[in-house]
Amino acid sequence: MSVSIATKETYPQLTAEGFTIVDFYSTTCVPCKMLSRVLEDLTLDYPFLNIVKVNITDEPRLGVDHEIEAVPTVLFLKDGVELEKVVGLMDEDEIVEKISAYYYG
Amino acid sequence: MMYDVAIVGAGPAAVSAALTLQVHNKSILWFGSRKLSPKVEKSERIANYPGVAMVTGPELNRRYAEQIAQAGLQITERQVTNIISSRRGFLLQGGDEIYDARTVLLATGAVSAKGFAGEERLLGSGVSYCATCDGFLYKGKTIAVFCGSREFEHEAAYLAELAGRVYLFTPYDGCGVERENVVVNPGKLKEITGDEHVTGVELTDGTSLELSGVFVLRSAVAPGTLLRGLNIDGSDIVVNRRMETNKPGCFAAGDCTGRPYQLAKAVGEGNVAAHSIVAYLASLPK
Amino acid sequence: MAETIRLKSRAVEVYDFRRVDISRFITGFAVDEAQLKKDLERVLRRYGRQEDAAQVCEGDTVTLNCRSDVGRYNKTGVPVPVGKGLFSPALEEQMVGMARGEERTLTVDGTAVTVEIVRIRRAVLPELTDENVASFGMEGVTTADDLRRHCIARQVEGFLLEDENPDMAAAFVWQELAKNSQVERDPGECARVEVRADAKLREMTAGNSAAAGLDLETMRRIFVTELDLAAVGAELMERDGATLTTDDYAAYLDKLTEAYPGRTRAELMEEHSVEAFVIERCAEYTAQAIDGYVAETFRRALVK
Repeated sequence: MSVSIATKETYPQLTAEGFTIVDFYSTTCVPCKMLSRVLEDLTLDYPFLNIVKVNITDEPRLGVDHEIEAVPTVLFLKDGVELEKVVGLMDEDEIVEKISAYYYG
Repeated sequence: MMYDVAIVGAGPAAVSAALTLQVHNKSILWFGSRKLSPKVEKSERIANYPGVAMVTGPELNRRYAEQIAQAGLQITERQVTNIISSRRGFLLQGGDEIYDARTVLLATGAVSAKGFAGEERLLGSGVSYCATCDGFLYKGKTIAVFCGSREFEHEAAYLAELAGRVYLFTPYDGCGVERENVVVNPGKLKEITGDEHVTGVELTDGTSLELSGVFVLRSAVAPGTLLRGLNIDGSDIVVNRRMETNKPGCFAAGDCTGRPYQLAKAVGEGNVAAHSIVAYLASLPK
Repeated sequence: MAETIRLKSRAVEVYDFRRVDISRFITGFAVDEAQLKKDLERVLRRYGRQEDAAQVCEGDTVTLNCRSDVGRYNKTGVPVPVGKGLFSPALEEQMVGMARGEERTLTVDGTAVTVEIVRIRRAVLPELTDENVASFGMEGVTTADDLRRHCIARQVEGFLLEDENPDMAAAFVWQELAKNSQVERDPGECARVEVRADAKLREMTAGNSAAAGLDLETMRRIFVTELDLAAVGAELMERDGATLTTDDYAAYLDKLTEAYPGRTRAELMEEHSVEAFVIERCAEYTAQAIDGYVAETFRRALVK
């Protein structure tokens, strides 16, 4: 299980393998903090989850590369390939549903 | 701190629920205006509330305020803008802070906010409700800002500092935001346009403005936007007779559940919701 | 070749701001026990043992092979946390009690799924004792109290970022520093301060009528304070061996040009002169030093 904060240098290797949830947020975004908490709590139940956090205030290049138009935005990746992009908040059940679909899909 | 219940709204339904929950010793986090319900305040006379003959709205609010104070209840004057449900309960955003509660009671009243055409469709693709979240994404760009009331003017000013150019729309006169890069009320906002992303806005006089983002700052947040996945019928929150919504742990009472918009109904629903909340809390695993 | 750029005003006497007592600002923080419990659990899990079990229980993570007509249940070596309903609530329920190596045909939604239990992993959370914590090998953490403090430190960092008390403390230190330091102000830089104060006041009152409460005198004082603290900053920089060069100014202009694509570099240079840049950067140096002191003091008081 891991929660790591990516920079534009480390992003490729952090997301290259396996199932990854990328959490795009900005420094002053409060709803983002709520979503991040829910994601982090999930790592307790699902230790194999790999969560990569990207602060687009600090790393604007990553925001542009992934066409982030609003935060929070969450990407679901498998072996580096984007399976789904969700803009805005999600509740825990929604997130678990997607993990269930993409991890075992 | 984890509260037993978070109440959103301070009208009669909320007051009724709060008083009952207090009796059952539940920890309450109550969001709303300390001036209570503006709808009640505007009522001249209420003739059909049993036991209280011909009371005026303001008088009734005064009595509510007194009763709340005597019960030792406190209202937190922060606007709730987001709620997420988790398996452990709910996370609420009140102002700039995050709160935790096991259950939520929505007593937000009848929704008066009607979104602009294109607003819902383009939410997240150029339309945003959160200036501090997404403002910097439009640094140097041209945006439109709808400022629903004076309390949001500082957010509009914040956006004006970041953006290149701002078209500011207000439903009221005498907007206090004056900057050289802000055009105030060039017309009346009718529609937000764009296919995959926002490309501009259309005004009621037929003119269009080209821009890359629209910020909508208003105080009435529709329940469906407030809590994703909430079952809504038209503008009413769908509840069963126990005031349960489709989301476990989330209840609703009062005008927000639909007609009739009556005091006696609101108060009754608030009471029922409170009892359902107590039962729900008792059923949770320790 | 990059040239050094220097502030002209000089601090003759620099007050040691670390003497300023900010204890009255250290308030409003309370340990979030629920979050602490979660963070402790997370650490215990990371360093806890995973042992192989013989029989499937709820909470175990089972690696299994399954065969079925349905694609989702046709997998090899897939890990499944039992009882969380992530893979299949029905399947997980039926797996409880199965032994390692056992193969059984279960039913999910009327479909037959043959499941083979390859491995059963169970997390053994170590007890929160000094001995166990020491064995984790975490840097600076050798006792249960250390671990508790380590987790509280994380909450304190969040508090430092979000709460206003640290900001108020920093503002107080800023004022005290300005009050007690002696600065020889360069007349040219002073004149610039007047101009900036004027411009800023006009900008602020134009943007928000509520700010009309500020008058020019107050504005000037704020900017003169900034100049004084820039002088202090220049002195601190010299002590630390740090310098400002024309390369730094060029990089600053680069960032501005990126942020305001509609403006020319010449325009931006006029609006953000090198003299203003020096004052800003030196004052920022002081501000950062103060922030460091405030953060350090808060951490010492709150992380226990």
